[in-house]
Amino acid sequence: MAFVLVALLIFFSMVALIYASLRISHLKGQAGTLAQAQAQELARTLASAPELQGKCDSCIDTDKALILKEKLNSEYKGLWKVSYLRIERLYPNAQNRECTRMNYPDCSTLTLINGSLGTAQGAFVNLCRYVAEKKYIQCDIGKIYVSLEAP
Amino acid sequence: MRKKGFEFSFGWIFAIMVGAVVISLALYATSKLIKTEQQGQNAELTVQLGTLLSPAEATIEESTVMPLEFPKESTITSQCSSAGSFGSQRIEVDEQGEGGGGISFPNKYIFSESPLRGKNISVLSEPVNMPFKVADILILWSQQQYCFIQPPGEIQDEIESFKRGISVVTSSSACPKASISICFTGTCDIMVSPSTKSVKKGTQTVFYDDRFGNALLYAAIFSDANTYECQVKRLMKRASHLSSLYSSKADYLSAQGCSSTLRDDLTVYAAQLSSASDSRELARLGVLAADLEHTNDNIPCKLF
Repeated sequence: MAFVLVALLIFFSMVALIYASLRISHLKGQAGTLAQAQAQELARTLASAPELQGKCDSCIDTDKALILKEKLNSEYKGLWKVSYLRIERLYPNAQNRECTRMNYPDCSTLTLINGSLGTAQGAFVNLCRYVAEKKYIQCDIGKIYVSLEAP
Repeated sequence: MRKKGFEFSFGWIFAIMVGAVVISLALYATSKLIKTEQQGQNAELTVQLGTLLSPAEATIEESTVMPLEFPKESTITSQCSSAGSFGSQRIEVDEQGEGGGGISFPNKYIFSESPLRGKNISVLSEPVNMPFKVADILILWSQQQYCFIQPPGEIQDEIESFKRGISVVTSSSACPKASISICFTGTCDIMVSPSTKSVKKGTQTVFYDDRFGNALLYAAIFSDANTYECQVKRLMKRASHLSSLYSSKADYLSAQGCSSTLRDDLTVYAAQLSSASDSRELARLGVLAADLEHTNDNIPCKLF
């Protein structure tokens, strides 16, 4: 009788362990889905962040973004909980290289935060800058990529 | 003589003891599991709330009211901290008093009474400009009714567009029962003074600036004084960093052939914002902001 009870105890413990591991993996899946939804929303709304926003809806001021790149590891550290943030110009074509003060605006990529890429979410945006020679604002088509920090 | 008695073998005693332990372990595990499930649901709700509030922030031009409905009556606790470069906003949603851990956001600004209870929550998104855009703030209120008594013309039009839980009347006697009254002259629950740009609730008075919109006025009305002061301090910190950023941009554009006095003006403005301590300083900072806006409007390569 006692041994039957012990055997039952071991059996139900194993069932409980299997159930607990299934629940934990389901929770991890839910956390991953929520993180993805967060990253998608963040990619869409980052273009409206005052630090990046230009003078229109979904416009990024690339002049500001270039300066922000230099400040993200100091003054602006920790403002956005993202591990990766990149702005890419899609059209018109430009030299496929990282933007710096020396080669801007003849460049295609502006990597603001270069941490772990993970699964980056993207959103289409307008990339606008001031053209000194012609004294007007020129807008191109681009995309912003965002990847959230791991919790 | 036969003795009457019940023979308790060791096997039976062992079986009863083991059974009791198994049952108590099972009951304990079940109660822990239920609590963990509830905490997990609360954490999920909090993250979903944070994600849902992001589209509300992204509206640029017009103030919008978004309704939020929770599956059950919930308590939203929002805590503000102004420590650090940007401060932080902590949100916790609790459905059944089990907690679940809050989540911190350094780039959200939520003005509300804390805690806020209800199943249906109204979320108003308003941009704050000083004079450049600093942030989109979120103003939350629950099923509590707010009664505005003879508000000034431009405010009346805006308030009437909010609709949810808001009534606009011509006298205090017309206010719904159990509603919170807001008046712009005389005495009531919340007294707004357009001349001194102040909002008085009970014994506490906070200040706002409406040169660039009524966002802070509504924030002062719908939130408690401590939350309002903390969030205003956070907004001023963000504005200070933005002012430095625009100053650097002015420097860069100056090298491109578009110079102005804004670089130095913005550096001074950033320092003023950084040293500001409470909402009383908004009036003084508003004057500086108006000067900056005037200068910016008169240069070919506008900074903001």
